[in-house]
Formats: sequence, C-alpha cells, structure tokens
Amino acid sequence: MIVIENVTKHFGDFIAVNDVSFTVNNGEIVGFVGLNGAGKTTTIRMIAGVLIQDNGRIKVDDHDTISEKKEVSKNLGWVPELPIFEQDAKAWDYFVYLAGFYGISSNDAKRMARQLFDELGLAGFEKRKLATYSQGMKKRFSLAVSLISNPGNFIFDEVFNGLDPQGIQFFRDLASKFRNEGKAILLSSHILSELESIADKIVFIHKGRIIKQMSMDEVRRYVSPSLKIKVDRVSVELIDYLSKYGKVREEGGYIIIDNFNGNTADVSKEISALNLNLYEMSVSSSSLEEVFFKVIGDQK
Amino acid sequence: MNPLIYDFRRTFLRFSVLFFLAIFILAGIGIVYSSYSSIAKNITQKTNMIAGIWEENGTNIIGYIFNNQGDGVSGKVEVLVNGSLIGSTSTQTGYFRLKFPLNGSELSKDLEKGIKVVASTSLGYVEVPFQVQYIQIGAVQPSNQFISIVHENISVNYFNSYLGYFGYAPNNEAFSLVDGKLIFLYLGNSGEVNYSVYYGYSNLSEVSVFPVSQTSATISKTLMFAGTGEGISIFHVKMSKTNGFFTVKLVLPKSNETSIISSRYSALIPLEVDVMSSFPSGVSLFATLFPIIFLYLVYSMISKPLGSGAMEFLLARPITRDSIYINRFIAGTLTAILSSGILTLSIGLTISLLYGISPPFNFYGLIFLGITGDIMGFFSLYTLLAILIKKTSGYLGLSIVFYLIFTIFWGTLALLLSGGMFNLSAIERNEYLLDYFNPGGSLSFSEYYILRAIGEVNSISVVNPAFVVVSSLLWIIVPSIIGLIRFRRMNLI
Repeated sequence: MIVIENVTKHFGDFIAVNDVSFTVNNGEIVGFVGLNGAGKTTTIRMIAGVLIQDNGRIKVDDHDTISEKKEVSKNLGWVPELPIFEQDAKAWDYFVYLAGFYGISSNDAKRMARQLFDELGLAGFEKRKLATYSQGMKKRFSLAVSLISNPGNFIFDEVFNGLDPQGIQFFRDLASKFRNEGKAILLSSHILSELESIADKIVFIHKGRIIKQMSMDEVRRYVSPSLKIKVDRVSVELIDYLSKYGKVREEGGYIIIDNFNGNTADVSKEISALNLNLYEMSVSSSSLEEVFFKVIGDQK
Repeated sequence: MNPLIYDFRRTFLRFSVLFFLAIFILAGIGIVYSSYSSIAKNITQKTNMIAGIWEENGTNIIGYIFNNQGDGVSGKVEVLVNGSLIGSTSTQTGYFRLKFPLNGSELSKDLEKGIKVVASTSLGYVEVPFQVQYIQIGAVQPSNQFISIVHENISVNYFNSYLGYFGYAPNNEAFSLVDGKLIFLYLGNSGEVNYSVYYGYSNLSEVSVFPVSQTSATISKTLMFAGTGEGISIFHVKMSKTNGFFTVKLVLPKSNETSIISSRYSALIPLEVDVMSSFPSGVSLFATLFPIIFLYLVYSMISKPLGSGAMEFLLARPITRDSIYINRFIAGTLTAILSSGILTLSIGLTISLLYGISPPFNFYGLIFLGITGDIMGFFSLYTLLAILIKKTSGYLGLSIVFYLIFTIFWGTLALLLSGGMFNLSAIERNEYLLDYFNPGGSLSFSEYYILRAIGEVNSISVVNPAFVVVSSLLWIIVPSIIGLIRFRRMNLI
C-alpha cells in the first residue's frame, strides 16, 4: 500500500506538488491523471525515494520513503516513463550490479536475470549495451530490475508511452495480474482510454494539486451518457418527441440525446410508433478524457 | 555482486584508465631510461687513482689505479713535469711505483710548476696533479725525506670517492672511500711498521676531533712501496646510511702519534643522487596528466549519471544516497591507489634493473604517497564540482579550468607573488607556500623530501611536514565531505 500525505515539493519558487494526499491500496490500480507539468512525475519520484519532499510524508507498506529508504525500495517497483541507465553498461552486468543492492549474490542474480530476461522478452539481448535498447526494451529492463525483490507495490509512469500495441497489452495485462496478486499499482498515463479499462480509481492532479479522486463507477456516473440514433427521416416531431429523454441535437445525420435519462427499448418502440425506420442506436458514456477536462473545468 | 566491487571494476578496469596507465608507465620508463643513457655516458670513466710523492734518494711516486669497486686495474702510468715526460711504468695490479732522479730542491721547484701523474687504462684516462702553492718549499729541510704529498684522484664522477684533507699543505696520508673499502695511503716515517687505522662517522660540520664512536678498520690488503710501514692499504669499512663527515684516525704505535683526516660524507654516492633524482622524474608525467583521466572518470561515474538521470534509476534501488556516493568515491580512491602503486613499482623496478641500485623503501613510500595524494586531491575536487554543477558540460568546463590553474598557472602565480623571476629563493618559497593550496601539492612535497634526502635541495623553511600532511588530507577530505552533504539533499532533476 502506498500512502501519500500532504506532500509538497518546491523547485525554487515554483511549487511542483502542493499538499498532495492519496492512497493506493493493495489489490488496486490507481490511475494518476494530469496534464504535462501537473506534478505526476514529481510525485512519483518522491514515492520512489529519488526525490525528497519538502513537506509531508510518503509511506510504502508502512515504511517512510526518507527514513526507511532501503525498505521502501525493496517493496516498490518503478518503471519510469523514460528509463535512463548508465549508458556504457551492458544489460546483463548492470542487472547483476543492481541485484547486488538487494543483497543478491552474483550467481543468484545471474540465475534470476536469465529467468526474467526470458519472461520479459529480453532473451538474446543480455550482452548488449543498454544504450542500444529500444524504449520498450528499456521499460522491460526496468521492470526486470523492479521484479528482483518481487515487491508488493508498483509504479508505472506513462508506461504505455512509446510502446507498440503489443507492448501496451503486455503492461496492461501485467498491471491486472499484479492487482490480482494483491499488489498496489499506481499507473500514470496520458492515454486515458487505457486507464479506463483497467483502473479502479482515478486521481486527478492539476497544477500540483489533487483536484479529484474518483472510483471508476463515480467516473462513469460523473457525466451522463449520450444516446446516438440514426433513422431514415429526421423530423421536428421526432425531435420534440425525444426531448423528454434529454437534450436533443442533430449532428452529422445522427440524433444525439445528451444526458440520456431513459432506456433504449422505450426509444426504439416510440420510433417504430412514428413509422420511422431505426438504422442504428448506441449509448456512449463520456470518456475519461472528457471527465478529466470537465473536472479541470470545474476547478476554474 | 557487491556493488562496490562492481563500481571499482567499472572504474579501474575501464579501457581509458588501463590504456593511459600503460602509456604513462611506458613514458616513465622512457624518462628513466633517458636519464640512464645520459648518466651511462658519464660513468664510462671508471679509472680512479690515489697517489703520493716524496723525495728520498731521488723522487718517489706511488699510487693505486682502481675501478668503481676499489679493485685495482691494469694500465700505464706516466709522470709529466711541465708537460715533459720524465718517467713511466705499467701495472697489472693497479699499484705502481716510480722513481726518478730529482733531488729535493729540484722537486720543490717542479712542485711549484706542477707534477702530473697520468694513468691510462682500458676504462679510461685519469690524472693526478701535484701542485704546491703558497708553501715555503725553501724552508723544507733538505733531509732525506723533506717533503711528501699525497693526493687522490678528483676526477671521479658518479662514484663514492672522498678526499682526505689536502688543502695546500703537504700531507702524509690520504684516503678514498669506495664501496665499503677504505683505500688509505700513508707516507710516514720509516720504522712505523704496524700502524692502526680507525674510522668513524660524525654529523659535525668540521671534524677536528675524532668521533666518539669509532671502529677499527679491518685491513684487507697492504702493499708496501715506501719505507717499511708505508704505502697503500685497503681496509674494509661499514658505510653509513646518513650524511655527515667520515673521519680516519691513523695511530702510529712507535712514535705514539695520531693523525686525523676527514672528509664530507654523503650516504648516497653521486651516481645514486642522479638515479634517485630520476625517480620523481619518472612519475612526473603520470602525476601531471593522470588527473585528467580522473576528470573523465568523475564525469563518467558521477557527472554523467547525474546529468542524464541515470542516478535516479540507481537511487530507486535499496541503497541510500550516502552509499552511492561513498561507493563511487571509494572505487575512485582504490583506482588512484592501485594506479599510483603500479606506476611507483614499475618505475622503481626499472631503476633497479637499469642501474643495479634499488631506491630506498622510503623513496617508494614518498613517491607513492605524493602521486596518490595528487590524484586524490584532484579526484575529490572534481567530485565536488560534479555534484555542485549538475550540467555535465558545466562540470567538464570548470574542471578543465581548475586543472589548468593548478597545474600550469600556479607556477606563474608564484612568480607574480615573488615580484619577478630574479628572486629565486622567494620564488621557491612561494611555490611551496602555494602548494599547500593546490590539490596536487603533495607530489611537489614528496619530490622535495626526496631531493632533500639526496642533498639536491636545501631546507626550505615553509615546508613543514605536519602542514604537508594536513593540507594534503584536507584537499582530499574537505571537498569530498562537502560533496556528500550536498548530494544528500540535492534534487536530481
């Protein structure tokens, strides 16, 4: 479990993170959403213990990130958005070196490396310098290193960024797997559709502040769905008739009922009663992106 | 794997470190060899001579031609008076005796003009001039043995030959001290058969009294040439390890007389002085240029990971900032120690192999500490700069500026502080004063102590061993501690 309490971080006069608090529970995937420069990565770096907050406290499995840094690092895996390694190091050697920080002997580390490199699709690239790795390979290598101690908590920072569909699927499945194993996952992404499908909770950060925390159910409820229908003939009579279900507008040959508050079966029946042919009907929920911008808009 | 071992391996077993270490070792060997070649030319002259002259039924000359080990060498001996040959002989054993018909007054006149004994051997050519000035030759009694003068060869270079007191007065005895052998020449009264020789070392500036601690010299070989007890003898003596005066006491039992002669003594023979001087020269290139390798190492191990963000990934492991910093500092320190050690040993062994003379252990120690302190001082400074200036280009630029200031412009600063280049003692003094404020100052001080030990420089008041140690340590400790404190709290992005 990751607990962030009233954390603030300044860079000179600039307040990058301002009194941020939220929790990532075990068995939970929390989406961390914000515009560029909102403070996501700064918050993540502080959770990872590589940046020291000015105020507040961060705990990972009840260990303080400052006073118990080593314990925190053992219990936390971190895959950064752009993993940067010491460029002249070879993947295999660097893995064994980093495993040394976990107190793992050279032989055990080599055995572990062989297994993880196989599992994560890095087999055959062990002897290559990390500088030659693609972005996806670097993320997989970061993951391999993070798995050394099999931590109970993970941070994926913009992990889908720069990956091909296969890579995105890999990390999405992995996050789900970790959740099922009871791990706490903090997942920041600007590809919000990816979060929609796997996150249990969304934390919105804007200009260094947490502006909203919502469960996915709350997100879905936050903006009502729209009903989109296509009929053979649009008439004023039809539009008037449908107005009782919501705000009706015509767009590109479709009739869209925003804030739809009826049910689709009733609408279908009524269209038939008007002797109109119904070609297409679908309900669309608001996307997370729309929710996000609505939340930001609410803050203004 | 222990991360410290990995960091050390990545530091020391780096191609650039090993390559340049090899280059500097080869360059150092080259410098030593160059000195050796230069010295070798001078040490080809290995003929040495000690000789005495007296009048007894004509003019008598005895002498001994010997090599650098005090062993006699064969050759031809000629006596020239005013450039004219008046007698010659040859010797197989090195000992020679010549007699020619000059009476006392003629000898006196010739001594005023100059009598020269010239020896030619396969090892070279040497001459001993007898010339008496400011002496009342005429006052000398025209007796059988009215004058005797002894003299040793003074043309010996790179060779431990010590002159007995000669001055401008005739003397009855002289000595050369060579490689544990005292070659003693005595022209005394006939009848003094079993004279004894004692010797001792003293640190007194001028010895008129025999040192309290005296040792009886063990006679090795005596060759009688003159009267019954007179001639040239070789005694075994123990060479001292410290500089001072070597004094010989001659005891004549029959007349109950003693005679004391002494000479300045250097624990190192001149050859060794040159050899030991080549030790600091051999490591100088390494000491001057290896800090640049450490500039690059700090760039690679600290500045670049900080600037690129790689340090963050490392810090996300179960390790504290202190541990990362200390690990890398220790890795650099071990690299400095190992590189300096390998270089010191290489140069020292090269000297031993080329010259057959091993530098003393304390010279090894001084050189090793000097260059290690020099490299560590720069390493510590670079580390601090890398922490203070996260931008790698800024680190590189400023480090190079500091390197140039401390290695090139520091000497100019000493000149400026001394008001020009003519006040040599002030320049020397200011150079050493400024070395306290130079991360590479320890090397300068180690060279100073080596040159002091071999008598090549005089004592300089501002060089204080305690200050030297403290300043060298402070250059290593202070920047590294400030760097650590700064690294603990710095933002890595």
